[in-house]
Amino acid sequence: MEENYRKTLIKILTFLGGIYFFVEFILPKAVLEKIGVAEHHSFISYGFIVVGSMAVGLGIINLFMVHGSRIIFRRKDWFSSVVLLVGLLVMMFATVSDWRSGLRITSETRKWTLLGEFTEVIEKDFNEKKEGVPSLDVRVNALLESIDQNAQQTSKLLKSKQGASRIPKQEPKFVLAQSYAKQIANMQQAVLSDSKELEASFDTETPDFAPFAPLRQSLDQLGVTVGKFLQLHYEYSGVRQTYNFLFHGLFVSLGSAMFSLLGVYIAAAAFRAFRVKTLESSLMMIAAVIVMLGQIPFYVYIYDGLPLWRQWLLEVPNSAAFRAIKIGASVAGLVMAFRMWFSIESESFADDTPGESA
Amino acid sequence: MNISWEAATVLIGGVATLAIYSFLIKENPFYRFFEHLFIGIAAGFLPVYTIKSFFWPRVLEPMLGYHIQVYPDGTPTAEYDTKILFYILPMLFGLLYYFIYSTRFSWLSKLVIGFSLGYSGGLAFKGFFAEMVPQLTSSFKPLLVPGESGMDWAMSFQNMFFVFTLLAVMYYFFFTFQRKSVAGDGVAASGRWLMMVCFGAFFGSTVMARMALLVERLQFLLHDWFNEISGII
Repeated sequence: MEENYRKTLIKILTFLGGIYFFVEFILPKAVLEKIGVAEHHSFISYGFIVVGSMAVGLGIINLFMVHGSRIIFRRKDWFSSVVLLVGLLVMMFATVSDWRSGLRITSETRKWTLLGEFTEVIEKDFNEKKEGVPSLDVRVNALLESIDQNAQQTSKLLKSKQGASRIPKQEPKFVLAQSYAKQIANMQQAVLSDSKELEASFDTETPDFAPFAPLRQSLDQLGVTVGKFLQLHYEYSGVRQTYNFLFHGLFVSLGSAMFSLLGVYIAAAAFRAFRVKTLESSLMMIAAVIVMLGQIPFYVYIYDGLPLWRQWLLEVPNSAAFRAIKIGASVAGLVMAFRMWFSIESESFADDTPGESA
Repeated sequence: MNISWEAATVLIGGVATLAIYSFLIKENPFYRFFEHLFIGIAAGFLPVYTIKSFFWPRVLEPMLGYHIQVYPDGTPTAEYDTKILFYILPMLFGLLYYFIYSTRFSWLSKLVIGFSLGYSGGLAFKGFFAEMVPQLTSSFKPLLVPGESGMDWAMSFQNMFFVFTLLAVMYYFFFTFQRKSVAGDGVAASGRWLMMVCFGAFFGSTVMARMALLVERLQFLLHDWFNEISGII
């Protein structure tokens, strides 16, 4: 009884998992808009992805279980497991640190662009006579105070970054960083003088928002330049360089080397196993040779038209035959999807017995 | 000797590449070390990348209200959207995956695995029609193409050949009825030959793509890496 209940529940949830996308696909757009699904479709779709993304820790737990036990019990190749787990932890730490630093730069940029956005909001709310917001003089004063505070904080930040700069002086980026620092100092001066002018001239009874537009532009530009300056310094920070070392030095290099190694093995396996004995194998060989020779500059010494032959082979027979195979495979895939959705294919999966281990 | 981070990155890249290529001689501890390091780094990078690019900006940040800032007058930049709290349900449901480690409650993980299989199945319908229908319609090209002065016979022949290849290859895989006619056998055989041409072209493209990577790696070793090494020596 209990087994049947579980089995039915698994089947029901499997069916429910697929019904949304099926219904969303078969219903006309007008109906989806009428019932409000079209409006929330991306929100709902992300919900499905959230379910799947919760499994992200499973892989890491499995790695720790398999390799951790190998290390603890000193099984064969335990040192390789140490390397794997250390690599995993160091890369995780470096990626998280890089991400956090990126967020900090964005937040520094946002300090200024937020004020630019605020000038727009003040003007818009006043024109629309929005209720429930502070009065105009309170808002303008808050804006001007924040500009002063931000300017002080940014000046400190500039000094600290320039003092602890790790950009080598002989590099062009050092000059670029200095140029950014000068630009920021000049922009700050301009923003501060604009804000002082605004403070002196702005009348809350008969407000004139004309000076807001250039101030907004200056604040946005200042934010972007602060972001560029910090990003430039960040490129030479220990966090970024450790991340680059792991990502470009190891991850990218090892990935490229692994894939190119497979190229050598494909070529070697073809050389050892491929025999031109039948019409079929001859056709395959000829097509492969034309495609390979047509892609290298050496073709000019053989036949000028090889790239055209290659292109024709890829665009006509290759494309048509592959499309035919794909159509057949997709129809089979569709049937499989049906079977999965209705738990016909995965009957044994739903057929669970209590106490069965994972 | 003072080695910069950039130089160290190039140096380790070269050593890692050579370690992987050492497998061409035979399996060795040098290769195994970097192979496991690669798996570890990839396994460490991808989960954080998933969280950084999807889970944080789409779910956690709006749920925690971190995307809302406060203007200098204390008003928020946006209203908190309570709709986002609905994501707690799929999050809790997704946590059932972790019951896979329990002997007693492992069946609970099958609920969420079944759900994922179901939505993959539902998505497959959409994927099939969205991807295959345009391809199907575009495959049936006009057999006679008019040119500026009369018929464009070259293009017409090319289109005829394309459609024939498509139908012949599909016919080769059609096993519902037994093929008895000589013409049917001929079409199926030509479908097989054309498929061989397709596989040959695929093989050539795959080998060349890998070779391009190999050439890039060799250029890196002989140029960047060698320059760094000679600079140090």
